[in-house]
Amino acid sequence: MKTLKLFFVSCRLGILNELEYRVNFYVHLFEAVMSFFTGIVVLWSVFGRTNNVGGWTWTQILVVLGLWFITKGIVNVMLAPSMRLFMDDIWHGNLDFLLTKPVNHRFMASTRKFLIFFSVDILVGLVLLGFALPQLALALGLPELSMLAIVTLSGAVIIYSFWIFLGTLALWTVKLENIMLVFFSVLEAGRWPAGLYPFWLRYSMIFLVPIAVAITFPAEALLGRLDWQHTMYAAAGAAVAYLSSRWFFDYGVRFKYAGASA
Amino acid sequence: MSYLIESYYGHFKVTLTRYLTYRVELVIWLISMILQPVVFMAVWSNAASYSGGTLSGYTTGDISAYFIVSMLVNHATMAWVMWEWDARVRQGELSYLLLRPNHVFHRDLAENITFKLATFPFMLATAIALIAGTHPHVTMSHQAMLAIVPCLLLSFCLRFTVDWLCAMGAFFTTRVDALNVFYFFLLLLFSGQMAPMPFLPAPLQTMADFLPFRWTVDFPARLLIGKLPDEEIVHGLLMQMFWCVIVWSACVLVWRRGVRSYTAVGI
Repeated sequence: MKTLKLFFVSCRLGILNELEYRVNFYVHLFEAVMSFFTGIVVLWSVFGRTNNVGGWTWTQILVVLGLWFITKGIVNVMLAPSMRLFMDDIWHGNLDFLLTKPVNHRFMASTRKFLIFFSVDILVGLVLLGFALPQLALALGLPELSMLAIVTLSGAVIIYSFWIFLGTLALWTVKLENIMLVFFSVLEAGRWPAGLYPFWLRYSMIFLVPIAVAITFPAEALLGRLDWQHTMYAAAGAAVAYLSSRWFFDYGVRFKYAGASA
Repeated sequence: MSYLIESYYGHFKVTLTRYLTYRVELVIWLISMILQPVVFMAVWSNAASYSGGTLSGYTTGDISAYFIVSMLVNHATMAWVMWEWDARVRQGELSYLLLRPNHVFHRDLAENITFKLATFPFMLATAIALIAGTHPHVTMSHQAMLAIVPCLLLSFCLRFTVDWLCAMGAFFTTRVDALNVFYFFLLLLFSGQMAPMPFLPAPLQTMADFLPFRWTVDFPARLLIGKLPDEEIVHGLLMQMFWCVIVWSACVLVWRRGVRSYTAVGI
C-alpha cells in the first residue's frame, strides 16, 4: 500500500516537474508524429508492392506498430529516465540518499522519475490499435484472452527486468549511457514482427534485448496465433528474468556500491 | 597547405586515441548502423518472395546485394555533426573553436575520416558475414567500375555538406532535436536507406527527384550492384556535382550569417 502511494507521489512529481517545461511537450509531440509518419510511410511503401510480408497483412502489421509505440512510450516515460537517474546517482555517490530510505530500493530506483510528455507515444499506439483491431474482427475466446493477458504481463516484466539489469551494470562500468542506446537501436527493429528476421537477430530480440517478447508475442496473441507452449515459455522467461534481476540488483547494491560521496 | 595536412594528422591522432579509449562506444555505433539495413533487407526480401521472387526487376539476390552495399555506402558517407552543434551553440563550445586558426569544418572532417578508418574493418567483416548468410547477386559493367571512385567521393562530399548545413540550424533555433528528427525522416525515406528508389511509391519518387538525398546512398549503392545503365550513371554524377555546388554555397552563406548571430552563451 505504501509502495503504491509512493508510486503515485513520484508520478505526480514527475508531471509537475515536466509541466514547467511546456515547450518540451511540443517537441515530443512533433517527434511522436514524425515517428508515426515514418512508420506509416514505410508500411505504405512496402504494402504498395505486396499485400503480405512474411505472413502478416497491412492491418496485422499496424497492430505490431501500435504495440511498438506503447512499449517505447512506457520505457521512455518511466524506465529509461529512472534508470538514467540511478546511474547518475551511482556516479555521483548520491545513491546513499536512496539507500537510507525505508522502502524497497529496487522499486524506488525504477519508478523515481517520470517524463510524462513521452506518453504521447503511448497515445499514438492506442490510436493505432483502436484503428486496426476493429478491422480485424477478432473473435477471441477465453483461452486466447488469458494467453494474451499472460504474455503481455510477461513481456512487461521481462522489459522491466532488462532495465534493472542495465541500471545495475552501471555499478561495474560507468559509461552506460551508451548501453541504453543499444536498447533503442534494437527497439527500431521491433517495428516489424521478429519472425521476418534472420535467426541471429530474431534470437537476439528474444534473449539479449527482449523486444520481441513485449511486441511480437502479444501481437500474435491478439491475432489468436499464439499457442500455450509459447505462452508458458514467455511466462517462465519472465519469472527467471524477474528473479535474477532482483538478485543481481540486491547483490550489486549490497556488495559493489561503495558510496562515492562518503 | 602543409600546415593543414599537419593539423589533419594531429586531429587524426587525437581522435583515434579517444576512440581506442571508449571502444564500446564504437561497437554501439556499429550495431545501430548494421541493424537498419538488415531490417529492411528482411522486409523487402519477404515482400519479394511473396510476389513471385522479383520486385521491380529486383530478385531477392539483388535486394540482399543492395542492402549490404548500401550499409557500406551509408557508413562511408555518414556524418554526425548535428549531434555536436547543439552543444557548440547552446553551451558556447564554438567560441573556443572559432579562436583556432583552422576553420571548424576541417576539424569535423578529420574526425569523420578517422572514424571511418577505425571502423571500416568491422563493417567489412559484417558485410562478409552477411554475404555468406544471404546470396547477393552483383553484375557490373566496366564503365560502372570506372565511376565508383568519383561517385563515392561526391556522395561523401554531398552528405557531409548537407549534414553540416542541417547542423548549423543550431545557430537559429535551440530546438535542434526536433530539426534532427525531421532530417533523419527525410534521410531514411529519400536517401535509399529504406529501399532502392524503384521500390518507392510514385509520389515519393517524384519528391525524391527534387531533393539531394537520393544521390547520397541509393545512387552509389545501385551503381555498385550494377543496376544502373551508363546514361543514368552519367546523369547521376552530374546531379551529384550540381547538388554539391548548391549545398556548399548554402553552407558558406549560412555560416557567415550564423557566426554573426552567434552570441556565445554559456561563456
